[in-house]
Amino acid sequence: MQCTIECNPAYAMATVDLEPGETVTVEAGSMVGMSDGMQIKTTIGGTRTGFFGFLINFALAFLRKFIGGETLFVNAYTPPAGQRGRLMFAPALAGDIIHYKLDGQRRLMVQGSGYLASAGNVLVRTKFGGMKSLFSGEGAFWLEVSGTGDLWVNCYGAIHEIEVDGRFIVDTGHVLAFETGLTYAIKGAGGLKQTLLSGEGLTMHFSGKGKLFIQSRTVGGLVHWIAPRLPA
Amino acid sequence: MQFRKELGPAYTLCICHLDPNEQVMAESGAMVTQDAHVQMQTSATQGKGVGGFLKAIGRSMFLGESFFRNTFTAVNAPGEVSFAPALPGDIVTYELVPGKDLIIQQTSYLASTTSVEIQTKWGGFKSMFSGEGAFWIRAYGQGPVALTAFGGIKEVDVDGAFVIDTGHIVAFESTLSYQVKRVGSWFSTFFSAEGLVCRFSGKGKLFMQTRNPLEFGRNVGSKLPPRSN
Repeated sequence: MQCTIECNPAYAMATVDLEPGETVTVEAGSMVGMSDGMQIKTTIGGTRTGFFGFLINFALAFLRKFIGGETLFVNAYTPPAGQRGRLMFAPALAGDIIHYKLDGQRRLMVQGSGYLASAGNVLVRTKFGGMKSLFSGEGAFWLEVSGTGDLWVNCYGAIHEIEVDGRFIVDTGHVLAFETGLTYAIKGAGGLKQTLLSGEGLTMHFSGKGKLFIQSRTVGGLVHWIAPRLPA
Repeated sequence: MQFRKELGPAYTLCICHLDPNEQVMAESGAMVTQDAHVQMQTSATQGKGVGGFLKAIGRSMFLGESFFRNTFTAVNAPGEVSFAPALPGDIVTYELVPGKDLIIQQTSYLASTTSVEIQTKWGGFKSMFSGEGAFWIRAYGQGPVALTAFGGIKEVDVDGAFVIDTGHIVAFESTLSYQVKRVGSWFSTFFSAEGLVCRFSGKGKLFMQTRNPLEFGRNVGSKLPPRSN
């Protein structure tokens, strides 16, 4: 599989060239273009099998949709038997795409609405981030991604990658993904006065060692900017 | 007449250089700057006189086409005019040659030289399902035309067949033909959120935009607070 990302950072689009038999799974609605004859299979995603597994997968997908703003379904694209294929996909909003290689050891925690696509033997589990994550700006759900293969994460704005070794503080809405070598605590931006008046709200205090991906803009910021400017 | 682009791809500006007494036509509202000696005329898109006026009213009401387009003339000296679309995104210029038309998604037309004819065409029944409205612009003649997109622009050389999401089409050469199709099974058609796609076949260039305005609107719109009336 070959992947190129073009038109980034503002309007990134990923082009994936698939060898015969390879499959790439993409969030519903993200396909831009593809070679002729690609097979598409629509599923609700999730890792559990069996009837009850299906119900759990469905419930989790449903939660992701209404709380995380994700789509309910994912589409798996496979080239026609014995042939190569090409798939182009892009997120809905303006921004870049992270292409992250999973090596079977490190895991990546991704913001609930960050999933764009995956390929290979990649497991995506929906995790409730605990009470603290209710305040973390981008929803209470995180996706824990593990396995081996490729993962594509969408973001709003440009991506900034930081190698954290020790401690680092990020505004909650700007956190896209981080490796599981890192742990975090949600805190106010300072004292009560600063938390309420600084406009910074809550921050995530990371500690440990690992990669942290942040986005240079937040969807919340865009929405707050647009809303008062719309005609009644 | 020459087009050049600056500040791309997110917020591209299209700068048009005119030789003495050359003209450029542009979508109404697209002009950003012009040299002081450049003169602008506004004309109804459907020709002169009362007939053209009424036809233009009709077309703008029913087809969503611009009522007016503007023509800029560099009077007796070389001059420059710059144009920009409303949405953030890239611009592509295309050189028309006689015999090969360019079919443009209606909102993607920005500007063209006056030796290029611009016509709005009913795209047939299938185009009603092709995402960007039932009408296409057909550009033909000779010379450059500038197109806009929402997001980046990617050029695809189709030879055989290629499938594209309907909301991502900017323009295509008339040597290509397309069919509106479902994706996969009926289940996928309803739940894949891809809905209908365009399958292009033949040999020619296809220009696609990396973002879909409808999807963007849906995504941001769903997060906006309810309007207070």
